[in-house]
Amino acid sequence: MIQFIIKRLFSTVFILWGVVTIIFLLSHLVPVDPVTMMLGERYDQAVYEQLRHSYGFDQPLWQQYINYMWQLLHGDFGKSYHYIERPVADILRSGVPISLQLGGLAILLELIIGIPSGVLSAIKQNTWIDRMNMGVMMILYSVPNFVLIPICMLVFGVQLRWLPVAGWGSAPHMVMPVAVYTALGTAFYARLTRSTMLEVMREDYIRTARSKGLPERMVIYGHALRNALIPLVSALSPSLAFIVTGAFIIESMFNIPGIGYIAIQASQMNDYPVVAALTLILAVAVALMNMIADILYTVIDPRIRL
Amino acid sequence: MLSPTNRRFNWMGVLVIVSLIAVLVGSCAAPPQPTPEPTKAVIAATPTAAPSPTKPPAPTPTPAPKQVLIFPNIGITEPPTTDPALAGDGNSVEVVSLVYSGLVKQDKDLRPVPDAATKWEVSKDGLVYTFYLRNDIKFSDGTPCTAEDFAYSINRTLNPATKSRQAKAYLGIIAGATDVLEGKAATASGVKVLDPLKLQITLTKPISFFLDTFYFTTSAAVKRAAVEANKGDFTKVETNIGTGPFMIKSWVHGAEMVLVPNPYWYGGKLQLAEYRMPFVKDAATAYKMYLTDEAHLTTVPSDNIAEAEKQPDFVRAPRLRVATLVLNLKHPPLDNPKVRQALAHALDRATIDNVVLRGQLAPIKGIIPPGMMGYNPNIKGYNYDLNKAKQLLAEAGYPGGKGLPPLTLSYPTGGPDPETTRTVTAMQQMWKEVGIEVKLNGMEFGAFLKARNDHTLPFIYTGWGADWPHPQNYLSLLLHSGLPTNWCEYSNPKYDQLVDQADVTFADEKKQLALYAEAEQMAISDVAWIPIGSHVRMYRLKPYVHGFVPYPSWMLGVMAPDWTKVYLSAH
Repeated sequence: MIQFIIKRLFSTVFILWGVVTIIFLLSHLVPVDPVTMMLGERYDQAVYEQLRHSYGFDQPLWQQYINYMWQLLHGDFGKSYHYIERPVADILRSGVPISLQLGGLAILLELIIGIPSGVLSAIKQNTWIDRMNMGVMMILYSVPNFVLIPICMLVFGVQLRWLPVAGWGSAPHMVMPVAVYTALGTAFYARLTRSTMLEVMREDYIRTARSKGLPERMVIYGHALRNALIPLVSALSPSLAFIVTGAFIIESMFNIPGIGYIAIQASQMNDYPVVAALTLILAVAVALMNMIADILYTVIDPRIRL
Repeated sequence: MLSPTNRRFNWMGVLVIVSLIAVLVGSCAAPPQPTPEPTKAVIAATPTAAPSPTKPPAPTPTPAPKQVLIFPNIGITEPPTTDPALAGDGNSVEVVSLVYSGLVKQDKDLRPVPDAATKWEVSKDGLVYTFYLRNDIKFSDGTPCTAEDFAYSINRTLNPATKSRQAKAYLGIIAGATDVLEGKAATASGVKVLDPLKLQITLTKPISFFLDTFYFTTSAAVKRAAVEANKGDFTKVETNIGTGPFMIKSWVHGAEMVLVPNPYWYGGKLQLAEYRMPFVKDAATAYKMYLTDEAHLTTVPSDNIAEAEKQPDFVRAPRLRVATLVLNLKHPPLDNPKVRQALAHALDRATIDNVVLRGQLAPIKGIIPPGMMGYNPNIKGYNYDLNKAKQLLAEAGYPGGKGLPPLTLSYPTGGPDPETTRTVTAMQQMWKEVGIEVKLNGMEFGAFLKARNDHTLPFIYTGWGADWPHPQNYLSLLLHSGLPTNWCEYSNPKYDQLVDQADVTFADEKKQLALYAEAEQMAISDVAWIPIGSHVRMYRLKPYVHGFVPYPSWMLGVMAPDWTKVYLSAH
């Protein structure tokens, strides 16, 4: 296990180095000049040269690359182009906890609602309960966020005045965004749980368990669900990784100052240092989550060894 | 042994990351318009009547028990800066103008009125300005603010270490400013503190629009001790010590700023208890916040104009921003004046305004937008006249557009102007009616700016928002030969002479405006520009908020001429 973790961390470092390099090259090869954007519509050659120099853009590319890597090794993401003179780390620090709250709460709810309803559907396969349950889930799964959000805002915010339509902080603020975030995931996990449960229920060991005279509840929760969870774990790890980067559409539309919201703004403003830092954070999160998922497999299924 | 999941880890992780990079780097939209800000018109001008709001004057309503004003700052997740030396975009200036104040400010007609200075004198040669400061100016921490603080603030803006992107444009005219900008001097020789209440500014040229540039935040007072103690980091609340009507009480980065009245403000006691400023990126969200009373002011997104127009709380404000076609007179077929006139006559501006932009682009024929000093409603422009356009095209030797060399119109797909793609597509159709085929070349805003700066585009659709509300900021800056901001290199010695003379005619406003008007007519007759319209912004302002008037500006389109009169009535 320890050996596995060390190996995995070692390869992760290489992957991150590749990611950073790709980001660096992309952000320097795009045809948009950040200094032009900083100056805006009023162009002045002297001011342009001065700013280029102060950001080090007048150095050769390899030199800039080395500087950037050196900064990163010291945990310094550099300074934002758009938020004048503001360290990127500062900008991200305010967003990460908010995205974690939103995403964490939503994923918890997804699992609490999604898995039991999937199990229920699997047990009651092809009854009206199953059909209704899956029908609802299908709708939740197929309505895109950018359609669902304005409808929710109009109904619960503008018409009924039950909930605020923007912001973050108090409980009423959280209800709508968390509900929308949860809708899609719940449907996904319910459908996934149903199909994996059905598959597992046909296995020999379930028949064995039943013939041993185990109560049905034990069969389902002790034997079937435990094995059905394996695909869930692999599905869960990327979604856990992505909560670090926030939910782009939800955060933007509900005006929630999380990382997704910051990312959209940064990409629109060509604020590459922020975009680069975000991508790096996501890469780290995905790598870590995959590692955790691999460790979890061994816990769920003793046949898997690392 | 490695599990099968390991393989998936590798490609999935990389795939996810690469696709995210692609999404992030590939998406490009518009930054807010980083054009700095108008001032008051230096000299009395007759501003054209802006469309007035349809708000009936209420018989002094009773104040509400809770005096909390909520004006969202729309289009951002966080103001780019609150440092007066650096603020160059509307969102930043919106904050800075509440917390800081300068020597002069503009009133709703864009005229100069006293702010921290009670009066000023100008020497006969127009080079020396002496400002007399109030004796009761205090920073929001209670310490006095004197001429020394204003001198420090100006020099700080000019200092290259501050990295101000506006310093040169707004303060470069001050004697010795260039030395400071280039790092050769610490202080500008033209900024002198005569005594604690007297500041003298000497210019290198007797320009007529100096006060207009001095209204801007680049010369607002900051507190030296606070700036130095916090190493110039204005993201901290404690650095933001100003002399404006408000001070920052709390600032949740990326979410909201709460301002409270500055108890030491020389302007008097405010009725408001709090000014809340949520940062709202999405204009559609801001509009919904307005509908649910979570905001007292909102811009109206294009899709909501039709419904909003019918409401009594609807406000229109001219934006001091012109949308125009700019033509390179050396580029065939644009080198033929008849072709240029045909292009101009073929455009139906009223349709562009009403149909394409839902009233957001009031048709104009001249270069100076309405609401600004020097606006000339009687300029001889080009009417919508299809027959005349066809006739001119035939006279130019291209009957029905036959044999006309290809023409490409470049425009930014994003940026500060709404619906550019729809606008140019409509124009393309209009030109087709007379037989002129125009190709469209939509460019990402940053790439467009770069090409425009490099003067590589012969035919562009673009916009210009006034840095200061003075004809110089359009006529001299954008059409004088040899300037980087003259995008299509219009060059006319007679024109240059006229605007050069007008720029320094500071004592006789009538004569100055006549010179500018002559120059403007010349540029229009030469068809160097084909102005399309001037932008109009739409707002909704709660009827129970009192003390605001719409005014022409490129930033927030409502202003409080007197903050002590702003209050909320019971609702």
